Amino acid sequence: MLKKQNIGIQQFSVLVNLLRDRQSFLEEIRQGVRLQNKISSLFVTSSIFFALYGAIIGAAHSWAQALSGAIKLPAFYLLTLIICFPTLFFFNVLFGSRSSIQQHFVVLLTSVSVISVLLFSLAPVTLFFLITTPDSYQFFKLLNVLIFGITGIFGVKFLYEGMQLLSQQDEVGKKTRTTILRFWLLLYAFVGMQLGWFLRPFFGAPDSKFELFRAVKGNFYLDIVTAISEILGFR
Amino acid sequence: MIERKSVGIKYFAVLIGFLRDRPGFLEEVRQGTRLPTKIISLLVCSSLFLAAYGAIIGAYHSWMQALSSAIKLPALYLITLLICIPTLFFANIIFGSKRTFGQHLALVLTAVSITSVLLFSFAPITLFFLITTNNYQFLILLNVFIFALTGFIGISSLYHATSLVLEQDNEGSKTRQKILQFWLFLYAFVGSQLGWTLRPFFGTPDSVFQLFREREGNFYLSVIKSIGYLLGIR
Repeated sequence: MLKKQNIGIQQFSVLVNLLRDRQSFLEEIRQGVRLQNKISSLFVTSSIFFALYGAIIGAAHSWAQALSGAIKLPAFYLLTLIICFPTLFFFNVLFGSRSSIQQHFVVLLTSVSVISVLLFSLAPVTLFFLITTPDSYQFFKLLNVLIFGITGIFGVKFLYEGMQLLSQQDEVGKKTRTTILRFWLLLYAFVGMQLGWFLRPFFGAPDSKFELFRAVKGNFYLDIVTAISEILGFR
Repeated sequence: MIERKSVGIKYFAVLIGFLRDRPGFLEEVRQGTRLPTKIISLLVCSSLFLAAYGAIIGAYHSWMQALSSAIKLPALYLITLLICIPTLFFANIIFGSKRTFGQHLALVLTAVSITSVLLFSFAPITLFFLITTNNYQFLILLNVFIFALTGFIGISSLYHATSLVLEQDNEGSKTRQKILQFWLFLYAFVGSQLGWTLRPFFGTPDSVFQLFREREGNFYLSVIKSIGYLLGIR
């Protein structure tokens, strides 16, 4: 029991270290100090934070929705990361990066962890509005769009810094790699939107029955194209 | 078993070494050190990666299609290479190149390897859209984009690599540059036709599995035909 708690504290301390002293944390990544340890800690802690936030936004609907939200939100962030990770790694290696696959993965995980911590820090705010304004689904949704947007921007900023530091030592093709990172972020958003669409509902519309996944499958982008063409009167 | 595994690792190590340190690798090719190992490793690795990607795009239709695409996609890239490499080699020889056939082969294989590695890196994304999307046209468009991007990077790296390996300070280097440009067109020309012959890779949904489509002759004639239709000539 004591040991278990110790492990929990240790994993948490990695995250706190990251937040406290980003420069030396990134420096450790660059030197490849205890990467395995870092990966597992960040993975676990960010999953927990995402799960908590997911549970809160699902709680607006029902406890079943809260449970499914607690699983879906971590899955959303981490699956997108895993799906897009090989593209970034191989492109970077091809354009002169000498960092290992683990180093790349840790840098990506740190940015996701930052997002999870920020979301977690905003959780009381969300919970407060959830309790005090129970009938305003639209307001709640807009609030969360804002929160996800802001936290996402911070995460991307962090990723940028981490990648720059990682590629400091390899002068060759540094500019190309920055361009690659930009395109990769677009790709990440592209995949993320589709995955988010696929995993819906996160909130659960009020007065609807609980459903694990919505029946409408299909594709986010095709849906948008359909919507636009309907607005313009093509169909 | 252990030996086998270490051979596999060695093949992979050559590829990673090439990706990490391309100038060093190309310098080795130029000096002709351990060419057979390099050629075999690149051949094996790129076939595996292309096969993996082929299996994924075929999986949209059925497992039979996945299996056949896993064979067809490497075949497409490597057979095109085999068909076109003698042209490059002999044309270069005629205009004063002193490089061996092995060096030419290794050089062109590097381009295919880069394309295959990049395709492999896109594999999770393709698989994800395959699972979540049921739209055939969207998948086709996505894959056209991926193949174009990876092919472009492979070709441009071949272009740079050639200037490093085949360049010598004697006459005809300008001619050889031109030869390379024409050869790239030839490669695309043969590749399009071979891709046409090997169809289907994806397999239209709701169609029965078929190993090859009934041969409709020629890619270029078919393009001309459809342009003719559009212009109302026939």
